[in-house]
Amino acid sequence: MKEKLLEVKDLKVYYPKYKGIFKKLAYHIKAVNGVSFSIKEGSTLSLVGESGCGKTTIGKAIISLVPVTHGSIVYDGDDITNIPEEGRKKIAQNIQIIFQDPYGSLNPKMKIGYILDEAVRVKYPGLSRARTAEKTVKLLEKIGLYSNDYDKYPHEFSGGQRQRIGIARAIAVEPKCIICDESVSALDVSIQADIINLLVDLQREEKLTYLFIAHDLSVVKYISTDVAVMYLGRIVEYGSSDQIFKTPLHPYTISLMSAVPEVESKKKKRRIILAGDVPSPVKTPSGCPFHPRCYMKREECERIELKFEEIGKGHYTACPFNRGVK
Amino acid sequence: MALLEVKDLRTYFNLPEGTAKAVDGVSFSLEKGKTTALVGESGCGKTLVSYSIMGLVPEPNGFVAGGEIMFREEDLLKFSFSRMRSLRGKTISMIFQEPMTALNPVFSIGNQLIESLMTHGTGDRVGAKKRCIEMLKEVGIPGPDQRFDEYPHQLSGGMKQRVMIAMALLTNPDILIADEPTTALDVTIQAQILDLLKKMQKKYKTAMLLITHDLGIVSENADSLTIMYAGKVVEQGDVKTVLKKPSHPYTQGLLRSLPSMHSPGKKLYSIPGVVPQAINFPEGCRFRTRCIEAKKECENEPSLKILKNKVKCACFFRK
Repeated sequence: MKEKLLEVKDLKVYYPKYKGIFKKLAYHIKAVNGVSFSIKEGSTLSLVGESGCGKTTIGKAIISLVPVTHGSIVYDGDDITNIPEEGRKKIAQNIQIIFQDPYGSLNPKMKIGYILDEAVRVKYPGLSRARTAEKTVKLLEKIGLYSNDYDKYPHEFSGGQRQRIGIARAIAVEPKCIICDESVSALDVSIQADIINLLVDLQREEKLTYLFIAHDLSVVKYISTDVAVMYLGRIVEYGSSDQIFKTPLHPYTISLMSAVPEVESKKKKRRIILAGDVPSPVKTPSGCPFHPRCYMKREECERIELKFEEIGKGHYTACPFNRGVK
Repeated sequence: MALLEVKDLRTYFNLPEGTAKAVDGVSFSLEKGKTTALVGESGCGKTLVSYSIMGLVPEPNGFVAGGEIMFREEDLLKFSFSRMRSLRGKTISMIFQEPMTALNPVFSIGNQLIESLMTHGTGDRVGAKKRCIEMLKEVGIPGPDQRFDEYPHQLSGGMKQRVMIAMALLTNPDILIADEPTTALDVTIQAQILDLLKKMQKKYKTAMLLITHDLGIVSENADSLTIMYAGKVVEQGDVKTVLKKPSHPYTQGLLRSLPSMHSPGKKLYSIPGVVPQAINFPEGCRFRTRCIEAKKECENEPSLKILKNKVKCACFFRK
């Protein structure tokens, strides 16, 4: 087991905004602003945060779908930052992505068999048509569909089945690492459980590594080994799933958790309702970017230089004040 | 006394393949100042129930085939188009799931808010504007005077949903139908919006129909609960009782499949199969094709009966 299968070092992704007829550079949107993490082979790291915090951008940057402004991405010892389009097939064999919307990510005019054949051919370029189809059928069975689904079109499947097809396409190239970008968010509870089970089973069988991008904390708690909580393009807290869910330290993590409505609330929980929205990444607040919404705010928060401190073993927080109840 | 009573509502669709009984015999009631939740997976007909109440069933294929919707001793289904129109948005308001698509992008939000007031003939334009700004302030929009002239794209998702709530509450409706009001929003914003809805409900004593698929939201916000499966009610009762001790196999399955009910490493429970399509719902108990307890009797149609714990449940094997 490799300790660091995928490593992201000080990643910054800025989107330039231009103004006027001469397209003068006006400002940058700092979507990801200095993020570092690494994933151990066979484990699951979850990126959690509100919309606009940059979690999807990180996923896209890893597979070179958006240009990286600064920092590096290392996969199994190879630098894969900003790979030009021709070289992408090579990363695609190792890192795949499953998108949120199973409706939008399958071509409606193509038969499922054809969509999957295409992916199989990336891994096995020289294979005859019959052998490719054979592999595709095996793939369909593996993810819980039937061999006669080969000739169907995407619209003939339900949402859950379509997401299975998305998963089949991702595992067709036998990758080591899969980025799941909100892959179960659009599904109903009973279907969602099925897909999560499938993802967990596949991980066990194929020793897959997942980067799981999600906002649903109950799913994250269930599936993750480690969790990184993001706010405005930065990681504010990082730790093992146990550390994050049992002893959350950053006020943002705490309020995020308190906001989740639960069916069975054993004790009367204190609900912290954050005021306001996530500020725009165009003008990030000074000091700690969370201070305008923080319920533990102190005066110095507007000025402090943020540091990422290790509190427990492998448990990091960006808040210099809250150390939990000792 | 129930403010609105839906009795045996049937909403069908005529499709080339036949008649789809998308809502087939649904009954529940709304009470003043109380929240009733309508829960189910996509395709179970919960949104169609709200459309039926509002008189918005898509024509010509969709039609209400039977039942009554009693409101102040009158049947809403018998109302003329224009009478329904004067009721809609005034006495019964609705908040939709997608605040992004529910607002018109080419009009300022102030314009759209005022329109709702003017349509229902309440006051002059100047007074209406004042009232709208007041309402915007009440739903927690900072700087309502400036926001009034802004366009939907200038607002965030949470803000837009606040505008929708303001618009729905402007006319002081007796009934508010909230169709997945927070599904498109982040958890922190969801908490704000639910909190706001609760506060407004307390203040105006509105009866609320909360349509959602999130049982967590139901548990924390609703008083009574109706669970739908494939166009029919499978379980109905007090929120605490139903969620603590679900009776119907479907409700039990739904609760068991929540990831928060499992410790990591354990396999998640899932209900086998998928929701059948409205065109070919199974005969008898519609859940029987996915039910682990299904027996021969299930080919007959179960009726909703009252169990010992005062919950209504449509299953032969529950006492």
